[in-house]
Formats: sequence, C-alpha cells, structure tokens
Amino acid sequence: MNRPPITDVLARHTPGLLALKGVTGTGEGAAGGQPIVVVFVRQDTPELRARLPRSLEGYRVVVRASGEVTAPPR
Amino acid sequence: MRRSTRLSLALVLTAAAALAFGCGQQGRLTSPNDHASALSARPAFDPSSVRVVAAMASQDRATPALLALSGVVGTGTSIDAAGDPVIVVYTERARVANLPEAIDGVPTTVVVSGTVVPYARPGGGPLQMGTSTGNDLECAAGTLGCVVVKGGVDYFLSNNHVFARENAASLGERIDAPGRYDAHPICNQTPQCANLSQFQAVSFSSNNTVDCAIARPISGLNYSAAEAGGYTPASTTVAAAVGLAVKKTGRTSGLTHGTIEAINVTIRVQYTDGIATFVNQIQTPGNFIRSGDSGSLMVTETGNNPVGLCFAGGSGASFANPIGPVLQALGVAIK
Repeated sequence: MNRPPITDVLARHTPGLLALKGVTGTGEGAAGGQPIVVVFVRQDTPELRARLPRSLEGYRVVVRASGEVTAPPR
Repeated sequence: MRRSTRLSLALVLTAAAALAFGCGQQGRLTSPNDHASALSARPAFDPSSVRVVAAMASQDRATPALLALSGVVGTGTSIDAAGDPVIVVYTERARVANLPEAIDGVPTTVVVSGTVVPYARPGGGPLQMGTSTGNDLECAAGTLGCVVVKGGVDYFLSNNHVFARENAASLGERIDAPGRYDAHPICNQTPQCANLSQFQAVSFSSNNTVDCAIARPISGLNYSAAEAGGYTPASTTVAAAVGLAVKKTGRTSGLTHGTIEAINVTIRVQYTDGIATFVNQIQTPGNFIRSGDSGSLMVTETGNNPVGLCFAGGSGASFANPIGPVLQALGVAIK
C-alpha cells in the first residue's frame, strides 16, 4: 500500500483529534505486524467513537481508553 | 507521585511521639534486640485509661531530658504483663547510663532498639533505587529512578513533579527517602537523602518531552545503583519500540512487567497547575505503574537497558518519557 510515513500522518492529524472532547492523546502502535494509529480517550463511548475516523491515510485507527491521565497518576 | 491532600505543618513530632504511637498500636521494631517478647503477653492496651493517660503525660514531660542522654533514641508508653503502665525508653545499645528506674512513680523499661532506620531500608542496608522519595516541603511519595552521573558526580534521577514540586522548587531543596507520605505517622519528616540539583521545567503552554529532575546524594549516604526489584540498570540505553518487553521497580507496585504498546505518543496530562501536553512518549498498559511509581525507570526485560522514565498514567494506560531526551536535558549518563 502506498501511504505516507505514520509519523507524518500523526503529526498532521493529532491537533484535530486532540480538539475533540474526550480525546487524551494519539500514538503509533501495531496490530498484526502492521503499524496503526492509536487514539487515547478518557472514556470509550459510542458517541465519541462516532466522531473518530476508522482510518487515517491508510492506517487503521484503534481506540484505547486511557482514563484521566495525571501526573501524579492517581 | 502520591500526595496527601495537604502538607501537615506539624513537622516537629519527636521520635518519642512516633514511637509512643507505634507502641500503642503494638507496632514492632525490627532490631534483633527487640524487646517485644517481654511485652508480648500483656493484656489489651487501653490508651484512654486514666493510668495510661497519666503515664503518657509523665512520658511527654520526661522525653526531652531522656533524649538528651547519649544512647537514647526514643520513648513510649506501654503496659507490662500485669496490665500496669510502663514508660519505655528506646536505646541504641545496652547499658545506657543514667536512666531513671521510674518517672513520676511509673516504672521504666528499656528496649534496646539499636539505631532506628527508615522502613525503606530494612536492615539498614544501602538505599536502593525503585524506592520511595519526595521533596521535604510536601507530604508526597514518588520513586527514586536510578543513579546517573555528571562530571564524575552521582545524582538520583526522578521526575520534576517528584523532586521539584512541579516547577515550584528552588535548587538545593531537601529530598527525603522515603517521601513523607510514607512516614509513620504519615507526613512526619523522613531522613534526608539528597538535595535538588537540577530540573527541567514542565511547560503548560508548549509541548514537553520530559518531566525530570536530579538530586545530589548527601555526603556519606549509603546507596546503591541496584533496583529493589533485584537488578541493576545497564549504562547503555535502548530506544522504545512497539512490542518491546520492559519492566520497572516503583515505590507502590514494586517490580512490574509489561510490553510497550505505543510510541511517538502525544498525550495531555493533568497536573496540579493545569494540563501539559507531552510528545514522543512511550505507552505501556495501565497496570504498569501506579500512583507513587512516578520517577521509576523503565528498562528492557532482558538486558536491563534503560528505555524510559515513568511519569504519568490513567486507569487504562501508563506513560513514560523516552530516556534519551531525559539524559540529554539534564546532561547526565546512566551510572
């Protein structure tokens, strides 16, 4: 598949994803040996999923519930 | 890092008070000279009984003079086998001179506790990495990550929000081990291990990569680069990769194992003073670190090569700074 590097894809789309209420972050993961886009959310809900893309420029998007991310973690 | 809701300003509780409390709770000292056997068969200790209250008052009055005696390390109130109150005098060694046989008519009993050491160092061995630490100006507890070196001098590595109070600290501030959150009673002052030397400020307006700080061990401190989890970090770092098996030793959850699930992570992190955005981070499962593990060093499962500095988490994911930028920001190397 001809697609841009995932680093570039993340750099392009992260600001827009972080602007969605409930999104805490993004990252580069892997599934089945293939790179995937990970979107971290405070809580995984159908409403939020409906607003998230299923793929970005040829990379599958996987949603992970991070919870509220704190330092210190509580 | 774990933090109590508010720093108690009652910092000057004496060892005597702490030991008296411990005695009332039937706390045990771990010295081989523990006197517990002589007190073990006693009836139930009732701290509200008139005689015990009177004995504690006598103990409190006598404590300053007792602590002034060479070899006395603390006092307490207990009861003997017959249920009668006694004032306990804890000593570093046997046959300490000039101890009274009774105080205000309450008999004394001597417990040779030996030199009392913090719980973080059972047996009085060297201070290990992966154990509790904190800034002395807050009642909190994080983790000593590892020993790093700069210009031939050793430093302890942890997070800014563990050593440097989220940007608020001044260089030179006192760093304790364990952190005050782990004191008995909670928030009491704990032994000093280091002084804050340097930290990377966390920005709340631009992207961050690291939440890190170093503290210089105090002169004469007995410490080790070994982690309490039973390994010593290698000096050569390894870059994070998805699927890499890693482990860490932290103050709360001890030795845990996990797999890196994502890299190049952008994550918004809630601090006391606001939300900070971190980029180029490492993500592991949520149970990899717990509250109080902040500052622990992530290393490879095989080889013990440093990979990241754990600093934040939520219920479903944990996050670490990549170790390369941490070392670069502070100008240090893993010892």
